[in-house]
Amino acid sequence: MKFGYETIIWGREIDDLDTVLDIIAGAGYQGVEFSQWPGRLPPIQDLLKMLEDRQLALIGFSGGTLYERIKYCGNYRPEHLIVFDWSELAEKATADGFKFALHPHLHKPKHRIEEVFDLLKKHDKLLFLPDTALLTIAGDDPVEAIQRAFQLGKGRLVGVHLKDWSPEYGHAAHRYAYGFTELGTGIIELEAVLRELQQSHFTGWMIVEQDNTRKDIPTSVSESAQWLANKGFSVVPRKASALSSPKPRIPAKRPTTFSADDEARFLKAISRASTMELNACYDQIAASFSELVPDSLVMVMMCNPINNVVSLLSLANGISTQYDEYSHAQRTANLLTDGHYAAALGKLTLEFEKTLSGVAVERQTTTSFDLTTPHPGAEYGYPSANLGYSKLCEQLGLTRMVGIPVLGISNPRHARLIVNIFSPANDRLAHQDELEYLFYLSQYAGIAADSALDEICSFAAASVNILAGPSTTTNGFLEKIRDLILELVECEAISIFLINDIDTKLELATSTTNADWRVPENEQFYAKGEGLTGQVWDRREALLTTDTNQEPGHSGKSAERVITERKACLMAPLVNSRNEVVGVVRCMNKHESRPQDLRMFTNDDVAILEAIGQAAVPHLQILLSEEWRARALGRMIHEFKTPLVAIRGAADLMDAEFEKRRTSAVEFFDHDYLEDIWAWSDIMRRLLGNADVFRYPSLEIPLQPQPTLLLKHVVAPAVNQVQILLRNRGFSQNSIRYGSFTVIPDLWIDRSQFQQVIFNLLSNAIKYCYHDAKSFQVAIVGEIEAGDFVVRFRDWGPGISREMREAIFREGIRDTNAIKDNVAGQGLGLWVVRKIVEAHGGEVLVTKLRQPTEISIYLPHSLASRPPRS
Amino acid sequence: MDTKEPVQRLVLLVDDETMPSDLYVRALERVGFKVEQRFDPDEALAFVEKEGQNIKAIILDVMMPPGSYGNKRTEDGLTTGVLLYADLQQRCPYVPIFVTTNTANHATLQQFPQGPLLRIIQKIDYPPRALIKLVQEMIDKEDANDVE
Repeated sequence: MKFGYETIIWGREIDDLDTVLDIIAGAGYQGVEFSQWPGRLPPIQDLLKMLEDRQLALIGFSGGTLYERIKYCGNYRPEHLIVFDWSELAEKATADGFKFALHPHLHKPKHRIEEVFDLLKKHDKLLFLPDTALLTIAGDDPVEAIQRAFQLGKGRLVGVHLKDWSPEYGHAAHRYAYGFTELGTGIIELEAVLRELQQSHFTGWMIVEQDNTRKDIPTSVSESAQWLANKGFSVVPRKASALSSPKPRIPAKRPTTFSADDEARFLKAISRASTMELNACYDQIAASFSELVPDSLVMVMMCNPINNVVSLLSLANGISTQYDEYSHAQRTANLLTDGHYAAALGKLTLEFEKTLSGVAVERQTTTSFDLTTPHPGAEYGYPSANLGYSKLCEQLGLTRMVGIPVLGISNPRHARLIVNIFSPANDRLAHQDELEYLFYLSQYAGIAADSALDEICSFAAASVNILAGPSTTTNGFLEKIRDLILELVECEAISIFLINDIDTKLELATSTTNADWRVPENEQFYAKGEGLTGQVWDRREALLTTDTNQEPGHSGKSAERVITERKACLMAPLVNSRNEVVGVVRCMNKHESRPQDLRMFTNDDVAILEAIGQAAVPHLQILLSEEWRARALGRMIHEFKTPLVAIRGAADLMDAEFEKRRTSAVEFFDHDYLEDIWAWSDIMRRLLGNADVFRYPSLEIPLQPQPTLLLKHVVAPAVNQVQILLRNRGFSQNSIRYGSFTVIPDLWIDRSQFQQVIFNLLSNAIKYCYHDAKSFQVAIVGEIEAGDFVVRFRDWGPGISREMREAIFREGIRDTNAIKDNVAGQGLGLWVVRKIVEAHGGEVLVTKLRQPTEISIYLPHSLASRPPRS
Repeated sequence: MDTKEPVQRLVLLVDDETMPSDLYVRALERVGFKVEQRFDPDEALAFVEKEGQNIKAIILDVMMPPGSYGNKRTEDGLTTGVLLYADLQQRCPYVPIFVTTNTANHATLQQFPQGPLLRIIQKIDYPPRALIKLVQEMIDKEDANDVE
């Protein structure tokens, strides 16, 4: 294997190529692959000489349009040229001796294994150059990709981009590239890849690539080389490198076209944009360029490369001022779409590689186009590039367009935005220094756009954390998340699907419109890969589309009810910390809140959904796990109750048999064992009752309220239930006294749950009276206080310490003395008391610490007339 | 316990478990009821189709086997129980039905359509003799209504 290095780490432009090549050679690499636009490289023969001087091989090129790269090579044939798809040009150049390597890349047309191998099988001259990190991020296995490439035949695998990645910045397009890191410091299974290649005696290129670094570049280059050397690979540093990192490129000198005031005004306006809401930010960017270049039409567009399209975000028309702002924008929009507003969306989502914008993005620099020529893209190898808005050009007399790629801050491969400036003046902005200057300024627009997006993402994540607080159920939480998405992504309808416990189905959890299913009732789910929704589960990546019906694999199995006809759709996976999909969010039809707002879903929306998902999934998993445990505990309690019911039933029949024989258990056994069975099974029932409440830690306790007399239906039965505990401890049965409760009418409460309350208080009093059995005394009285009903429970036991006054009602908290004196219990009894009382709208407090200890249960007066509010 | 009840009063008991329903059967028979025990929904429905006119009361456990009921898919045993109840209630509209359960979940129990002849019985609160007493009272009340 041979090891080379990719120059992308130096950005779009290399100021000092000699130094860069020295760093690469010094670290021990044997070849170089260039990602810069050839327009920024020395002539090919000079480049080859520079490489030869350092014993470096030229591996290939990936920057600029394919046409420009072919043209740059002249008679020289590099080992390969990187392509992202097959094309007529590639076909033609192959006949001319060029070799092309298909490079699966996120946000490019072919980036999943299946698509890649379909294409490789179709074109047997096409070589393969996978990227370890990008395949992993996309959800594929790089080792599998390599194995399948070997199966295609010798020589098809031309090389591998060795790249490591850490998921800490997430998957969103504007952030994921921050995660690229030095070899061996991320999550990519590089050793498995290298092992596979070694075992297969691979002799091609291993090209170390890292789009950016937080270290200085020579250190980063050298650390990755050192990692390879430590693994026993032949990357041997040639000399101790004392080289410093090249300095960042100083922006070009301001051309005379623009004044210092223009620049100051522009930067001030862009600075304001960074603090704005996202849509306003894009409008501000359009307005700022419009002000900078008077008498122009400015479009701010977004690359949406998953679908290989660009879409319009905002426009500012400074050419004509004869209309007011509103109708002006609407008129321009109509011109853009030949007057058919309804079809606007389709018309303004232009195929990326057929637009002039595509040229500028491929070249990673500002490019000026003469619109008066019949095929302005031909010069750059884009003969089919059209503007898509010829009527606009005709009506406004536009003759020149300047395309400015606003490159991502984290990833120069990803153009965050494209700013197109149209002008009626053909000699306008045609000079290189003007274009360089605009590119320089545009990077501030990129920072502002990222900043505005990060702001909304942070807000989204913080909102999720707030929403998770008062959430009680998974469904309740998901409904809140759904509404948050509705607000932030601004669409007509949303559904959230979750994968079931055994990973077999994607089921609807919540929807804004009760998603309609066009399938039999028992098939209301998606299997993995089924339909677009199932594909998102399978592929672990967001899907953006302007029309679901046009998508391959669209099954039409279910749909949200929407207002407008079109079916623009965004689907995004919900991913957990183990990078597993736990659900899918499906959003339909982005709002058109303003006439000029010709919107489809964008990568910004994907980023917002990811931020919401990243914050929501941990909460969701806790809720799901809690509810699963509650269900499991419920089943266990149910299982316990069956034998308990049978034991009580058997005792009941035994009692009946004694009656029939005119005798009794006492007479027969000399002890009332049947009464023991009843009493102990009552205790067991109450313990199960505590467990029943315990399984609803964050849910409402289910209540069956009915008119209840506290004394008759609650206190007396509970006292009866603890008789055996009293007997067991040798306490007098008369030690529990209770008042008449005459002041309290029938109350709408759950009898059984309130028996549980009194039972827990009594059993606590009995348990904790461990110092002096004779001192055991309990009094229960009913009173009215300030209109509310109060049950006072008093005991003359050891009392409660002041610091435990509140804490004793918390889950799992036990008095320190109880632990010291080895009193049995789990610290649940009083917690259950509080849960039940609160479920009835009441409150329980310690109102006296000792002699007697008094616990007061306050119940709202409304319970006299109606059940507690659910 | 009143043992003067007519010997041939017929009670249908539907439960896929034998405990505690065997105890209910024994207790019912002790006081002179004729008890037909069925262990799955199909058997129960078949019996009702044939003998529905003679049934005086039905005791139905809330949890029946999950999977399917008729041509409907049932995710859990409760759904089967709810569907079976609806069919029994439709075929025997004047017969008291006692739905027995171990669950305290009110939301769950509310899935049963309310009606004057439906009683939801917490099994733990109703040992056999208490249940039989309730069955007798309801049958007597219905018989009295018939006379009127």
